Amino acid sequence: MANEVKLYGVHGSPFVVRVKIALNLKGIKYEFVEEDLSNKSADLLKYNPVYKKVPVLVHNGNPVTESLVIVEYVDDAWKGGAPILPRDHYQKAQARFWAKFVDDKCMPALFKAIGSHGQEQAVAEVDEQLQFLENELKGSKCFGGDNIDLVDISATFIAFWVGAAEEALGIKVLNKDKFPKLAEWSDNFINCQAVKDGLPPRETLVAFFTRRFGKQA
Amino acid sequence: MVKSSEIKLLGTAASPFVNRVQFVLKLKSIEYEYVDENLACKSELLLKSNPVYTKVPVLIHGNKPPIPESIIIVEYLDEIYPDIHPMLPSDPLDRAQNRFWADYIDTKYFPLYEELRRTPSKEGKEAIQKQISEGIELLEETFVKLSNGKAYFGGDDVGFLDVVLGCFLGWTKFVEKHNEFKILDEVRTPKLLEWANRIWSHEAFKDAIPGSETLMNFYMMLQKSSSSVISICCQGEYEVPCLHLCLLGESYCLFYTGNEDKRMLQPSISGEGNISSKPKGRQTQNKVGNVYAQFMEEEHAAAALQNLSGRKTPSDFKSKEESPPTCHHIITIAYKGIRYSRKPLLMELCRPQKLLLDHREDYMG
Repeated sequence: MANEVKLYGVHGSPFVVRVKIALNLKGIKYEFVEEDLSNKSADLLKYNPVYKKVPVLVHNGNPVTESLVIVEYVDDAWKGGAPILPRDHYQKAQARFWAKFVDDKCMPALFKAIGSHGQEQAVAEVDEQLQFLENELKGSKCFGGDNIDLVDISATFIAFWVGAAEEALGIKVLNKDKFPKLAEWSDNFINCQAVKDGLPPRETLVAFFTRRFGKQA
Repeated sequence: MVKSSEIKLLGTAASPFVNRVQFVLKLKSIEYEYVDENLACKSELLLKSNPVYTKVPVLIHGNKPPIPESIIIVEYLDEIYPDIHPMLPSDPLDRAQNRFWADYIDTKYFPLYEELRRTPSKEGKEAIQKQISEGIELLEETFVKLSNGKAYFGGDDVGFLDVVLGCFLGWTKFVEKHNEFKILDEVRTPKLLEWANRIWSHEAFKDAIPGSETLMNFYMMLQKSSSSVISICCQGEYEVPCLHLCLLGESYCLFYTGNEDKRMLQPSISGEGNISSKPKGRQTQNKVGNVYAQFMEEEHAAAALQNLSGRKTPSDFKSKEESPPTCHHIITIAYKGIRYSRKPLLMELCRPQKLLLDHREDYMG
């Protein structure tokens, strides 16, 4: 059966990039359908009627939505290649927990810190959440040990977007002295081929943050 | 049957998320030890087991570190005991669908019940009721699609989404009665209504869904604690003594920030309170304080407040103002917050101070 894989998204969305990384890790060929979020396509609305958001993966005509659900699906449906979720049940549960933690706690705190231009209290909240992640890294190269796993993928925003926002707005959100392991992890992560191939150009992101959040001259 | 010494579940009877895990344990015939938690005063075990969220449920399997988050626990149990009553379907696409709807139910649908409780106005409540109706109608559609004519989301027998949604049936009934509006009804959600009746009478569920009295007690506790009060006279000004009075679950907490030796303070505080510099339980945002007293009874908190009232601050502390506010003044500021708590004794105590509130600018600086 022909494997038709389409990914609806926008290049600059960290949630879409999560899916791209997963597809790259598994060596899956896909067609990227660029969406204009101010004028969503009929297909997008058909495939994601509940939230009308990207990313949406359509596999042989069947849609899957919500980035972390999609990443698990990719791992589930394509058994070859390195596993994205640990095979050990207990470690799998831990990975799911930390990925959910990134979504529930880290992302909102980071958005707030960026949106408020690095306001002290917002950054303090970020620090509180990032400390948990810093502790999780222990000695390993990635959250998944030697190989990228669900948690690494979920934290893509931290590895790449935060740096771009810091540059665009002249703020400090991720304190490299406080979180040396996270800083090292970020550098390694964005240099992995599967990740590199999925990331948007840094200049585009910096320009986006400047436009969106930059102070008026 | 799995040995009961292997699995421990930390929980509280009124939590649907805990019930969810209990259903799965029952369906899979897994014996376990249940540890009841008092959410107003969380145990050391819970705080250590779930330092990130300090919430229940938490599953402890053997001597492995604990697993929090009910959906993650359910998936874990399904994976380690796959042959006994499998919860998730085997096809990857169906699993993705199940996970999607579980996320919708937990993050979009169920939080509406809590929002309804917190909304005081009639128009506000009506708006949320409308959202709940839309949500449940979407779930009705989903049920029709996924059940494919069968009795449950999972087909012929209970599956993943049946426990994910089924655990909320107790609260659904409660919300319906309390607010006098129907969530499940024969006209708008006929299939879900039939499904709900099946769940209510299912072996694994009927003992685990808490009764309306348990839910009512929990609900009243939430109502009380959501009127928690923080009042700070000089935010961030650690050198100036501040009194914070807040409600933490069922107990009253007095946070005192100041340079005074806490031993000097002790006689002023009713003997019933525990003085500790390491407060237990979920902290409010304003967690400053080097003396902390926790009282279970309102009159003890009131007595402590009264004893502290009128005491002048020690002369050796430094302040930016020429004359720092006294505790007497500070309590006046606290009155504003106490008013929202509707605690009769405390309100009575602070009544004379109310007049001073009108002249706040004179001493607030």
